Amino acid sequence: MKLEVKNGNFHYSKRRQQLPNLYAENVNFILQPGEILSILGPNGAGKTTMLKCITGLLNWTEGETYIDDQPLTKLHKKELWKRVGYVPQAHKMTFGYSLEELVIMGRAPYISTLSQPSKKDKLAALEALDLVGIKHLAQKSCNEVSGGELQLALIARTLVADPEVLILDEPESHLDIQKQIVILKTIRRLSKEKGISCIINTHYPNHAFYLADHVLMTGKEKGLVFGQTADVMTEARMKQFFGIELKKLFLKKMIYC
Amino acid sequence: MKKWQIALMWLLPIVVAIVSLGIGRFYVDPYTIVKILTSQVFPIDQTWTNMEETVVMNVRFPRIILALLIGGGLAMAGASFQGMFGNPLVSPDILGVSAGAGFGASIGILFFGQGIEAQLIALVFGLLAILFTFFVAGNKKSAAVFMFVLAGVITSALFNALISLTKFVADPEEKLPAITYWLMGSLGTATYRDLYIAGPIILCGMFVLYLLRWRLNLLTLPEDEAKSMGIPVTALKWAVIAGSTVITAATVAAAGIVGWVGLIIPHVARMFVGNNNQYVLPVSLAIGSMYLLLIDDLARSLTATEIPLSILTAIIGAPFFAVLLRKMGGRWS
Repeated sequence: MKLEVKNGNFHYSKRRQQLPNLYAENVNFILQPGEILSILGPNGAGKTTMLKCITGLLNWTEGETYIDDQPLTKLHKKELWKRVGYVPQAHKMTFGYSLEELVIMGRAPYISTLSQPSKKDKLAALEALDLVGIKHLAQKSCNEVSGGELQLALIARTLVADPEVLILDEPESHLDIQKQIVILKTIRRLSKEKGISCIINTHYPNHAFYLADHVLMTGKEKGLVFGQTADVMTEARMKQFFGIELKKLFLKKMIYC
Repeated sequence: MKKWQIALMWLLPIVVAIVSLGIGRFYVDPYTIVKILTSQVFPIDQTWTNMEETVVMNVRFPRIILALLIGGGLAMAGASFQGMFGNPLVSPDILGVSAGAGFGASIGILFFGQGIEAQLIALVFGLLAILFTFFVAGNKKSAAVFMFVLAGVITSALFNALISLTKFVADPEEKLPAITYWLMGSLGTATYRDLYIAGPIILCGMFVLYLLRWRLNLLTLPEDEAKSMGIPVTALKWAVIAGSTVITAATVAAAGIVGWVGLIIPHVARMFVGNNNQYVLPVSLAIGSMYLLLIDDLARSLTATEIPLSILTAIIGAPFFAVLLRKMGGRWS
């Protein structure tokens, strides 16, 4: 499915100093099926707010998100969330559901309000856990598994609804480097194998470079740049947005691949 | 859950109920009770005395059914609120319902004496208290959950002060003991009339919560996450609040304030079946109803006078659950 944002603005007042106002003005981009878009920017640049606006969790004050040329606000919520999967950052849960129970929750758009999940939903959950490679942990409590495993389970929870777009909010930011690579690889594999497009928030330039076809770079007052990854992520612009010198180096054997 | 566990869960409260019908100062054996109960539906030869039938059917039956409904209802309401607020320390009176209904009952007793008026006023004030809580929390569509909890604390404090005021002005010979006794919870005066008023309301609330039991899992997630499951979060929350509130208000109207059950029973249920509310709710219902029934059996047979329920739920409950908690080490979370 094609996802497009036209002229997106989000603010409570004209002055955009306070959160969750979005500094960025006039957000415009198109995401074609199977593509990966990375929203890249330092902490506090409004990446999460942007994701919420794109998916309709917050309403754009101006502009609109379009899905296959249809305004997102016109879509029925249930239909929308069958097609769009939102992966939050892994967090501690009050109640330790087993990973299987956690993943089954993703089937909610398919289950009518007054009924309970069926055998079929359970099988779909196990299949999704298998897809991200942690089927063996299905009966573990989500407060007992590691942060990386929980993040994978949260990805599985969206996969179980068979989405066309995955929206990931800094899925790798608080993981150690090995888990980060597992997460990134999983995202890339899903995108390649299943043709799922992804929008992924990150503040690691190297992750954006590794994954993304397009980058939407944002940095408070510095504005907004959208384009092909290699075009956007120039050394000069990285310095401007992140405030430190960054060098682009290519190793023959890309560790991340 | 396995099939036999489910069967046991539903069978046990029924067995306890049948035995409970027999115990008291006038003992009736379980076999006779089954026969008396059967005779209400099918015509069979009478082998028991009229006295036995009167005691079982008129005196004990409404009381025991009410105990089952109140215990089960409070446990279910507690489990639902704990899930919805994502906080295992929440009990069904968190939004101020009990305090409101308690105040309603107090002024009811003050002006009309103990009777149907006091119960109806209790019910009305329980619901008024909830409305007040929502007024304090603000009517923003996405008001944060902790706002509701804080508003509930404020509401409870206000109505508790008003209860103290009514006690202060009440006639200490007659009204004050009635109010005090009533606030500690008792089924001592339970009749069919109480059952007909509170029963349907509690059952309605239970039905709503039971149908939404799996959705409750989704409501424990942070708001945005729950929305991203494509469910109408706000509407579901209102449904859960409505269900739990009417249960709590009706129980307070029927039997006064019964503490502990709504807070503790859901945790016991979680020790048995894990955190999935799909199972936690029905198991809470079963355990809660059985627990309050046993407590009520003690309340009416332990001494010559009735002991208030809240005293027993805590005195017996606290050590029992303390041991359970230590043994299980809070394994449910």
